[in-house]
Amino acid sequence: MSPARLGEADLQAYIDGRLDAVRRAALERWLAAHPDDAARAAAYRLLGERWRAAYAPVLEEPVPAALLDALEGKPRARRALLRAAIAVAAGALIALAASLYLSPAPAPEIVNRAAMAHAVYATEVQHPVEPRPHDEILDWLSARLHMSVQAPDLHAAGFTFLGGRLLPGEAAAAALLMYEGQNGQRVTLYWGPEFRQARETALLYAPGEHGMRVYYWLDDECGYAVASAELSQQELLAVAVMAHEQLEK
Amino acid sequence: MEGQQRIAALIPHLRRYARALATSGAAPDELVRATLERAAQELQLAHAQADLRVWLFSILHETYVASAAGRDVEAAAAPDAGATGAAAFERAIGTLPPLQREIFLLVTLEDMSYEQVAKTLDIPIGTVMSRLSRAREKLRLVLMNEARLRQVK
Repeated sequence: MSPARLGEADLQAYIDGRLDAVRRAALERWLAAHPDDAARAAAYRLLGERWRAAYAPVLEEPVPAALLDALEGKPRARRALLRAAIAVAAGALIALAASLYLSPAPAPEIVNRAAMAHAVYATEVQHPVEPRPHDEILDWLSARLHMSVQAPDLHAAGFTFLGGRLLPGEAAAAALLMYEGQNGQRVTLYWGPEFRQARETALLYAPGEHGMRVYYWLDDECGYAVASAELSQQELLAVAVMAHEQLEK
Repeated sequence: MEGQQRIAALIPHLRRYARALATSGAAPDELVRATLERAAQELQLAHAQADLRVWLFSILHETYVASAAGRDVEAAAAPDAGATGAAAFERAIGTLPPLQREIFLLVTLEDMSYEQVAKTLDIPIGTVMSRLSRAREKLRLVLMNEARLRQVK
């Protein structure tokens, strides 16, 4: 059978790959007999490709910290107020302002940041990391973080280094290194120099909800957090110990 | 925590969409920030959503419509031909009414089904189809014209 006229809705669904086989075949027959419509269909398809290509890089951009703050329900005004208070006050006043404006955090900030970064980037199938050679990316991250960023070898735990990316932090840049297991499970290692503290901590565990787990430790150079949403606590511990040993040797 | 993380995973998509909407006035990230603030306030609702992406984009849509950029019926295309890259896309999409922009971008960038688009924008599916068709035809003509102008120059 040959359709009497071109169904405009069918043409749109054809462009979007949403026609069933029978209607697609009918539409293709129509296009084969009507070059003008075929040219229009080709142009529509090209539009889609051009728009997708033009805006694909946005998916690669680091998510601005302000947006993550908005999601965490931190209003901008209150943060500005807190900064102003800290700027003018000293000693006890800072402590007072902090107790007024900072709610007691159940987990250190590095845990939230690492969990959020993991959630955003570990789910990216196509572009979880910067498309650059491994040694180049580590050199680049080292330059941006002003410290030697290394990728610990986690092969013994079954994880391969995929690469990394630069992230915004509150006060300084941070880095996220990504690893993948044989079944596609992802583990990330977060580097946050702004979380460094003089007294080195032990390897600490921060359980998240719904499978997100984080191990972290802080030293006088950087804060580190190993995160995964797919590994058991035991599996993640093995990975974290391996990373901790290599980075603190 | 879990709701937040699932939303966080969609932030790059919200940003891409907001950027492509090419709102002349409001900065795209400002649109996303307002969306996330509202999502954070209504986080309990997030758990009840069958389709979190549709929910988030519908909040972005309402924010967009409430902003001045979303109310412009027919934004004038800047006439500085010759520019290429994203500017050409922004100019072309700027010739579409806001609803057509949204439909075209949700289908094209987000690969949403027509039903998801209808739910996101709270309009009948027939409207989605007719406006999508108009949007594509308009964009085709605008870009064809631009290409012709560039050849003449």
